[in-house]
Amino acid sequence: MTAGAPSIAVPGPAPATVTRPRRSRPGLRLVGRYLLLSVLALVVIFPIYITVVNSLLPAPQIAARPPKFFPSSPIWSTYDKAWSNGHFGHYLFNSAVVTTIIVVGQLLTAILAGYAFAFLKFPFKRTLFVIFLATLMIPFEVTIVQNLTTVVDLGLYDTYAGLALPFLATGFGAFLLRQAFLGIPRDLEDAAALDGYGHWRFLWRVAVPLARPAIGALGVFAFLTAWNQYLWPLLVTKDDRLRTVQIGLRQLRSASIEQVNVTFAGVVIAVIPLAILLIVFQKQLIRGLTAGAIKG
Amino acid sequence: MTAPPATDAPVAPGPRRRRLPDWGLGYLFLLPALVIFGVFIFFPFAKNFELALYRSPPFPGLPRTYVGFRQITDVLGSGDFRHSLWTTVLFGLLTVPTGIALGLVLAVLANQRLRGVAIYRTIFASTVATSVAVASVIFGTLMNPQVGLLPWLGINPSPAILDNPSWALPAVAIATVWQNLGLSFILMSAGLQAVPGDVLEAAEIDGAGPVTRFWRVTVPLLSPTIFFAVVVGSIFAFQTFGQIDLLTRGGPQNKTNVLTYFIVTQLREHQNPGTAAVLSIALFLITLLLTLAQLRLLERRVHYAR
Amino acid sequence: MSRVALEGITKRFDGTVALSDLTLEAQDEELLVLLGPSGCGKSTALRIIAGLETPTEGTVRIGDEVVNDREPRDRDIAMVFQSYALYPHMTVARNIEFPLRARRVPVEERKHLIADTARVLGLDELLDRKPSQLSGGQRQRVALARALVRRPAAFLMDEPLSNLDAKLRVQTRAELVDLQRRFRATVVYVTHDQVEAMTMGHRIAILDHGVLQQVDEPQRVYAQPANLFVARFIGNPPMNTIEGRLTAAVDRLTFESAGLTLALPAPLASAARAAGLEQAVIGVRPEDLRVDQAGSISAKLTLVESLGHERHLILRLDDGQPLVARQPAEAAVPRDGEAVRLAAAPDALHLFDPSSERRVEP
Repeated sequence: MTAGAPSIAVPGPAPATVTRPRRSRPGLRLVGRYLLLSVLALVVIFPIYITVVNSLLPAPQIAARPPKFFPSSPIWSTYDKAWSNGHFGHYLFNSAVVTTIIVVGQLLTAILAGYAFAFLKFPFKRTLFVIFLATLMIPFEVTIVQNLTTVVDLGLYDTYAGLALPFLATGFGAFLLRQAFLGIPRDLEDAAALDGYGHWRFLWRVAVPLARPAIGALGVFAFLTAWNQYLWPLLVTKDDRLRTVQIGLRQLRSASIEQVNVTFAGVVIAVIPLAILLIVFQKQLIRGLTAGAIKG
Repeated sequence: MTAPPATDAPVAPGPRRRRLPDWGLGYLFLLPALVIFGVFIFFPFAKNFELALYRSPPFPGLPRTYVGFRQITDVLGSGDFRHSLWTTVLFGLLTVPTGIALGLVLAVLANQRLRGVAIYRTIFASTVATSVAVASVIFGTLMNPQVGLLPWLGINPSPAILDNPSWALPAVAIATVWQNLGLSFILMSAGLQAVPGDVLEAAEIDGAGPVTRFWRVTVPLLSPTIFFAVVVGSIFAFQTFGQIDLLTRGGPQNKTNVLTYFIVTQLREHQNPGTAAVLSIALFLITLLLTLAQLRLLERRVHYAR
Repeated sequence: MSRVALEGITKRFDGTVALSDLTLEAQDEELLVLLGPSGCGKSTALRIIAGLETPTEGTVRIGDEVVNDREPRDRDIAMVFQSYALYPHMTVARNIEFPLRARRVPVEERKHLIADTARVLGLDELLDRKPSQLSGGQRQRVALARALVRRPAAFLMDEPLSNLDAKLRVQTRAELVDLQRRFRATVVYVTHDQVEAMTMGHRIAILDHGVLQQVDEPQRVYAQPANLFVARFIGNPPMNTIEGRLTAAVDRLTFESAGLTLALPAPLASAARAAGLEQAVIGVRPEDLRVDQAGSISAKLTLVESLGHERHLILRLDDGQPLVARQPAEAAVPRDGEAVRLAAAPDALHLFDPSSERRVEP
């Protein structure tokens, strides 16, 4: 640091760096903030809100002008109709089955692959890892032409297997679990080896419990994507008995305008299981969604 | 980089068990995933190149004819393809920047230390529970000329929004942006954690108002997240299908015939796997090129923390 | 430069009281140190002055104006953060320039101010670097430059030296003092390090659990601590405090505890008598205790710490109360476990009321 006389003028009258102090009231500012947030929240939630409201309105009131924003005498029969006549109960079941298969499949394959990449030594490991990553580069839409044929040829059209099979493994899952397993301290491996644990036991007794956050994240993420799938179920099922909830919405949509309330009841039915799951597992959800975005 | 494997050291005496050597186990563990990848990702991807060379007959059951590269040049040179590509690009331009900007603004606003802000955060993130089908059904109904709310609000062009060549694509874009808002919000919120609070306080003391702080501090420090959102968002924009199928079916006048929808209609309605295959390859290449271009051009402007 | 004042500031956070009726003033051109252990509220007080927190009660004044309702950027103060809070994506030059741009200072004047400030702080060569390319000491100077370039009415510093290594800390301490004197800046300086406080401050304000204990010049805080907390906080090793009782004998007052008797000097004795004390706490600094065969304090030596230039004797009274004495290295080394006799000069004794913990003024 230089010694000596300062070459900057010792502070006298302040240069034009002082702003004219504004007299603003903190209370007003606070109200303004809440107001802005509330307006935006209303805009965001409005479509969902109006859906719920309309699902409870009797048919004539739906086209009422001005529109009703609150059901004065809610009818619950729309849900009943969507569930039985609209087969939504059944669609829900199908979605649940397929999603469960996919989630379990993805978790299993990711755990095994992640473990292999993290703990096992074998030739061409690096190449194989690149292959896994390469799958991330190929969007699913690019594979549908042949996949449809494959499924038909294997006799899996209109089956749960056909719906679930292509999604039982993802490069993303393997990558995520590999990262998680790599975080397990070397000492634990050594201690387990000394204790006589083979790979299989080490995997299920030590590695998996320690990688629970990543597994939870992957599970929620897989559930979310599987539940909301649209293109593939559309392609490989035609039979109403196999329809998932998303394709069920497609059916309802084409129904007549008078059935809007039933359609919306179907929407609510489609959303609720997912919403509940996401609320319960929000931490895992966020971790799963942001796994790629945040460095480190 | 990879952790060394657990030692298969000789272990305490016990019943002799035949143990697979490490690499046998490695391949075994990778096998399920590799089978799935092989059958449902790599094989179909490669098969496109073969399918692209054949034209299918108008009637099923008849053998297909080999036409070679002609089909590829025909399809890629066609006005339909060019139009579909342009529609897809336009759709991307409508949805990606908007989605990111809105997610960012919401994330910043919901990042304040206010009482009850958690409620707002939940609401802003709520659309993550909605699917493309859900959003499409909701917005489709909202825009319906007979029962929809938009006509009541005075937005009643003729023809109706979703049948209107000028408005159909923006309308689908709006539904898409809304549906993606939750995800965008969550992503931006997570990124905001990386912006140090005391740097923002320093900016406040230094004299920067909220807007200045946003543009000069928050956004630059968020650039890695924004960059990620742009790249991934673009990739997803090119894969748009559900909304088109539910809202406009490619119309009106082909104005919403994005690439993926084009591919699926070729496959399902026109029984043209050959054309669909060509388009699939094109989709892949375009997505790849776009991603590479973004990495090249945009990453330079991203500020990464040390 | 202006004075900075807190008047009757109370700050409550969800049930806990961070600051309790704090009234304090940093005078114009003064470096006031806020000193205290972690959690005492000193950083909170600083942030309230800055406007980053709002007080639950009380007034904040800068100059003569009440600034409670003003945003931080309208208070004409600059702050140096413990973590420096530099803009990581901007060069040093841009970092320093930021407050000037925010205030729409014209370009020419900006360039001039930046160059001057950079020169004063020795940052000329570093102007094009980013914070990640700088050492801790350099970053700290950039933080200072950013504050300095604005010529604010007052500077607020939140433990600016804590993240520096010991040697750099000593050096930077001297430089900060130099800067403050040269620019005749009003500075409110927060630290938990008493050496910084004692060497830098014109006055020190000591806080404990949100309550102001004493505000005084360093020498007086040292020699005339207001209460037991200050007495024990200032000084390294801290002042010895011994509990015992006062017995009146003839015309004298004697302090007695396990193994020691001390005659109170007259001024202290009369003050104690006036306060009607029976139990008392005596305070005596380690440097005021010397080994003396004829001394009236008897203690057992448990440990000897040799620091090279001096020695610390760790002792224990018969009832277990600890005692520390400093002796020069030349003095004879007593042996562990030895019973040692010590003496204290009568005017080095401090007397404290055990219930109020306040010092009794002689």
